[in-house]
Amino acid sequence: MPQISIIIPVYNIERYISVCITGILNQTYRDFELILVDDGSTDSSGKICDEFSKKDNRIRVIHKKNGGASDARNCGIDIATGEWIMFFDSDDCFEDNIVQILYDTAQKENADMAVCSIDLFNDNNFDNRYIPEHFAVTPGTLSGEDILSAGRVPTIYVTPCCKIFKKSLFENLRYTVGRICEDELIIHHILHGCKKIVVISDILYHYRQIPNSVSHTVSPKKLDALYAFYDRFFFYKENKIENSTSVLNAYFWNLDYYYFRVEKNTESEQRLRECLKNTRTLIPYYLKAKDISLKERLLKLIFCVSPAAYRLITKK
Amino acid sequence: MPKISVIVPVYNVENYLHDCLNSILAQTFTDFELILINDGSTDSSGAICDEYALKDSRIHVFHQKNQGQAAARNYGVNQAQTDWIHFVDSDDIIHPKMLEVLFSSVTNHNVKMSLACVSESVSAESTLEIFSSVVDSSLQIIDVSEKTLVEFFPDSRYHSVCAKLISKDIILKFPFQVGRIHEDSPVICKWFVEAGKIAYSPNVLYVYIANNNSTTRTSFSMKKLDLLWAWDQQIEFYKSINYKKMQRMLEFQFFSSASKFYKILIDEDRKIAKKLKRYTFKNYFFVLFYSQIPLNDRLYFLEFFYPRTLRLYWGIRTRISKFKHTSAQ
Repeated sequence: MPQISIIIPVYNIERYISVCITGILNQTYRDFELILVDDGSTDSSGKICDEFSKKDNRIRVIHKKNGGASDARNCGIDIATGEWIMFFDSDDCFEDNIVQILYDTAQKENADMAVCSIDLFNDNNFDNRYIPEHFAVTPGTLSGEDILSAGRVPTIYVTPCCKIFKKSLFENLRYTVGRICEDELIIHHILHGCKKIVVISDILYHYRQIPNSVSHTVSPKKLDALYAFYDRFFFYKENKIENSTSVLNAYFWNLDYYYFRVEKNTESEQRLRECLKNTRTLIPYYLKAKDISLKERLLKLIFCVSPAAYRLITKK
Repeated sequence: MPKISVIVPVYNVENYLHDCLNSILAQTFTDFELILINDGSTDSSGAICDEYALKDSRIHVFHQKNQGQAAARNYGVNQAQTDWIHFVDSDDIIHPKMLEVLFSSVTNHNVKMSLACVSESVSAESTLEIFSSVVDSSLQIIDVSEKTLVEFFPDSRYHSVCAKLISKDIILKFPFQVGRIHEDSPVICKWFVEAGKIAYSPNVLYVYIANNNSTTRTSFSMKKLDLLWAWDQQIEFYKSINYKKMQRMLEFQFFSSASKFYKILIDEDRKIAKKLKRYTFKNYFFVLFYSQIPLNDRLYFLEFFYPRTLRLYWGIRTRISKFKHTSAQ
């Protein structure tokens, strides 16, 4: 019965996995189980994990059919025996005391969650690290409710990494499989269960950014981001959380950005239809949001009637 | 006459039993008897056992009142009609070549025990990912020494009776302790030393299926303290054969398990917690000076017994390491 369960989804990451696992084994805090979920890797990642598990009794390796990062994390949560959970991504870097500091912080403040700061580095350029604006965080103690009602949930809370969670937060919660932006989808549920969250300014986690290729068309899966905000809006309503308008704003901003950029094919047809349906469900609430301009609200009403018409009007 | 006795204690595993039994019946080596001991299951596990026995004459089923896994295994060994024993847990899966690999290794190399490796998965379907279709013949013949046990200690090779083929006389000499959980490792170490020379296949031929109902997954009960008994048994054994390194390692395990139990017990039953603390410190205090154990580990477990003092130490340590980090950045 270790105190902490560290869960790492592993998929075809043979280049970085050894360094990652070694980084965990070298942590100053010792009492954890390291659950490596091999999500059906086709390279040597699985074998590397097995080799490590032969040398340290804290390592558990689960091999499973490929199901995606969400499925892998859920698998880890299902079998975790620790009282606390931490997630790491197998290609990132982190300090050797991240577990210690987050655990001590959470214990000392009797919190449900502790969060540290994070910076980004480009592949192989570790010395040029930077903190992008959307990862900025104010240190302090607050409740999940505070974060939710403040407006848009800062990105730092959304990523599963660089934080420690009480395992009980996940009692009835799992990441949604088959959607991307699953972090956005789960975070309001998690935050709602947190009475106390501690945020510290120490940069203990380094996120590896792999340059993305630029494209004009976008995968239909990006519409899952919209779904996350849709779900979140009704979650706010159900649980009487303030400032649900901010969620609507996030929804419609993302709608504007992604809806027309999605490549039209058979796969996206269904998702676009679902998206339109969800938007129509939301529009009555949007129309009532007095703090959004009338013009804006009417435009979105037009969208609900006909996205094509909306496009015609707004296209520059 | 069969050559191997496969022994499977069965207790309330109706959701897992079919996959387990099918993997055994799919063995390329067919000359075995399969002994199923239904240890008083309250679900349909017993019926499933009988159903399989009707279809395959190699299967023998015994139904008994619930007495625990140790008793069921001992009973199975006593009923076995062959010289070789292979244990399978009723919710796990074995590779089709398990018996073939293990049996050929003991007969070709004249050893009394052979073993393969174990991996973990979440469902029987997923095991296809783990079992490679070709099992490479990278067998090692090892003269058991302290070094062997140290090497095997981190995982199932030391702690589980599964994925092994053992000569029946060794098991009869060192049977399982009835009424205890964590009953595997106290006898396995004795089997290793008794066998003297073993065959080891680094292939994964056994998959443990994570089952939320098994004894290791459920929440705390006094029975869990049997872990301390298990460590104690091993310590006594290593003392008797003068394996000092193993002895020290196990003494530290005792200390660390005791400290974790203390933390739980202090809320559940203060009296027992205090008794445990007194006992641990009286008999195991010296582990704190064992240099073979990393300092962090030694101090960490001391923290359970003296949380306030060690909190102070960690607070200072964290401040120092934070200072080191900021000045480095």
